Amino acid sequence: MFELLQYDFIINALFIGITLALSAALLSPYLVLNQQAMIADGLAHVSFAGLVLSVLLTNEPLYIAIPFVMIASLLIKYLAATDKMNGDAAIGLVASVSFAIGLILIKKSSGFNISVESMLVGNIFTATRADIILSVIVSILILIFVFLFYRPLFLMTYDLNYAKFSKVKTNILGYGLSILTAFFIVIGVRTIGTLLISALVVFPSIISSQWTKSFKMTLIFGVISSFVIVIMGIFIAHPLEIPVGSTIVVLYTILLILLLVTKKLLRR
Amino acid sequence: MIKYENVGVSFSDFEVLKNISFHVKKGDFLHIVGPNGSGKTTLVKTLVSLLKPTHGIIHINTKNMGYLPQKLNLKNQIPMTVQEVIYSGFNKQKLIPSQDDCQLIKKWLLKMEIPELFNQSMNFLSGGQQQRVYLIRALISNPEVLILDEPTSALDPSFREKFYKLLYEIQQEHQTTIIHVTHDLTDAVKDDCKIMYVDQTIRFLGSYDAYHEFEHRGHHHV
Repeated sequence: MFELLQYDFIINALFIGITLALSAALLSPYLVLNQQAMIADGLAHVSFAGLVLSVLLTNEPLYIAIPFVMIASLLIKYLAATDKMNGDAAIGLVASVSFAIGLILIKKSSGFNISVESMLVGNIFTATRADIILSVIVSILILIFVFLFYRPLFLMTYDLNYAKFSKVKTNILGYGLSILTAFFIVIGVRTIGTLLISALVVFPSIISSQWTKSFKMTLIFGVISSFVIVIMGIFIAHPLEIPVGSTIVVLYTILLILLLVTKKLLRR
Repeated sequence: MIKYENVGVSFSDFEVLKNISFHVKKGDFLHIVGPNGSGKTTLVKTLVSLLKPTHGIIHINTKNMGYLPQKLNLKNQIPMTVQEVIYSGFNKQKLIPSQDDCQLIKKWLLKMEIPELFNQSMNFLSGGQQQRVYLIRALISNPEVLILDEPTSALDPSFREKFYKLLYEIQQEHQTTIIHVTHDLTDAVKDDCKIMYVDQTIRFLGSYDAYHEFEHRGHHHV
């Protein structure tokens, strides 16, 4: 295992994997425990169209994709905040429209030279220096956001009305959370893939809430389990030549099953 | 402290509240009663700024308010401890609560006769225990105005009496203004409190003795 560390692409993959794991685990309880887990999946679909547009217009995948997905995340939040539709419907609407536009653009553009499969599955071993820098930036931003607003975000998660009563700026914090999620998703889609990036957000809270009773410990154990699984995923996927994203999801599922079985056995 | 001037609330064409005018002085204890669907909770929501009135003016002369909602927004899958929930009612919160903050929480848990629950998960508590925890969240910052929307609905009768005794103590000690929505005035009233009977509009507002008379007349006259 340690001989793999002599390769730059493995070091890069570990670096980007750890920073993405940190970002995902920090966002996880505020999205998953607040029934907004599907926003990550929806934004991943949006980022597919964003990346396609970006490559076609600038030949650089992230220039247009980042603002594109951020705007989409704000649109979802806005649509969900109005009485016209609920959050799930807003995510489904924006995500499917974006994904459809992305596929049409690929089909009708002669200059698109990236395979659709690579965008759906991603490849962490081809991460560029720009990917690493952006991944570090997004994880630092999310870390600061969660540290600064840990208490109001917690209150918003478990009792939105009381948060409003307590004069928490629920709209501003909600939009902040959406923008950071969008930023994380765009970076993550390039490396983990459109189809599986949301798993990185969904699993940490589900895993840690199985064996912690406080919100704080859910956050901390989510970060720890996320680090362990992502690092294991990289080391297992490379020699077996299987996608890292899929390996991470399978490892998370095994861990979840083990925890659920242990919990059941301990209760007997 | 609180003044309502001709306040009304409508949803689409349906008028839930109309012509609501009253004022509450510092240290008053006001019980709001009325039948189901009479607009009591809507009135409370305007008090705690969760709902803007369709017309009229509301003056509230303090920012330090405590509130216990009628429906507790419990999401059972969220792992959180009693201490975490109560701490979210503090006016000034730090990333990590201080020793003094924890002591204050423990003192209140003792007052509410649930001292053993400090580190307990909220998901394992009974409805009555959860309601006591949310009551502490409302009370812990010594609010100048305390708004309680059916606070005793999940409490057992023996604790209900103690709870009202505690409320009157808080009112006496801190001159707290208390607005209390209830279906059941048993145990809740004392001689110097006020009763408001709401049914879309204010049908009665006065002392408990006068309310008795109003009740005997069959709620028809104001």
